[in-house]
Amino acid sequence: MEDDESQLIRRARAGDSHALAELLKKHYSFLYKYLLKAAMDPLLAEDLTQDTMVRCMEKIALYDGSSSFSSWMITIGTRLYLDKLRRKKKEASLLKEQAIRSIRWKFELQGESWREVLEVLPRIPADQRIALLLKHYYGYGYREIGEILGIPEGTAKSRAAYGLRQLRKEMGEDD
Amino acid sequence: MTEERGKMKEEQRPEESLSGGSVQVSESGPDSSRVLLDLKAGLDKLDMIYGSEASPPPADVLARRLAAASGQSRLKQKREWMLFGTVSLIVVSCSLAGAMSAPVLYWGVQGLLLAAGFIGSVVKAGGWRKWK
Repeated sequence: MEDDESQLIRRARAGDSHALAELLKKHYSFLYKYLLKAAMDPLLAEDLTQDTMVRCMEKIALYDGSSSFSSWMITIGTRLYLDKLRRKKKEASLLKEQAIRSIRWKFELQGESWREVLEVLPRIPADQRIALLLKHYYGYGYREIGEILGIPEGTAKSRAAYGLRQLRKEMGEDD
Repeated sequence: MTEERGKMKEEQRPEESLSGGSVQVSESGPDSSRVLLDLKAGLDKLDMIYGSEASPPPADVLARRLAAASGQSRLKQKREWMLFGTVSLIVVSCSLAGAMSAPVLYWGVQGLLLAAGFIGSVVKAGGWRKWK
């Protein structure tokens, strides 16, 4: 399986568009789910997934294999998301509420009980939320989180810690 | 190898890292384990609910979409380069024109100063004579 992927990457880097499409298809679900958790907005996650795919396609020649392909993709996706947030700061809070409502509605539609943590998560600042997710959900190390977010390892550590503290506080677990 | 690391983690990690009292929990303290378990359960549920949205389009559709996006991106890049070229041309032309006309301006200013000095001295000399 790993060999298959290495082969796909090699062919994609050599300009084989079918190999690239196959490679991106393979990682689509993982990327969408990651971006959904990071942005907590299904529509934005979909847009970001498309944008990330295009960016990966443009930059595939620059992928050097020093990290896994999925990590490389989420690095690009995370940076696109943070860039988008910086540009649309004003609309952010309103859109966030709408997005949460739509997720909640979807839970209700499928007869699932709503989780408080999903209500609380978007209230954590994006950079802390992403560090928290990467550390405590995806299990990345601080050095890798630093590389994904383009920040020093120590900053990644403090962001994950602040994110967790904020999560505990919002969930009434803080003493 | 590190290939598929994120994906592997996504599939394996929650059970291992949160309920197993692994690095994540021990690093964040025992008090956080409940919150982290809630987080994991909530996010897993979110994955489940949005499972259909997360399914990728067929490879040929994806290839077509990527080709279209690539075409648009190339067009955008071309437009940006053209804009950059035009602005650069204007800036370079203005700079060259400035540089070329600088000697004229320089000698013009020098000549004017000389003339002003000469006229001034003549006027002054005339004044002196009148005074005398």
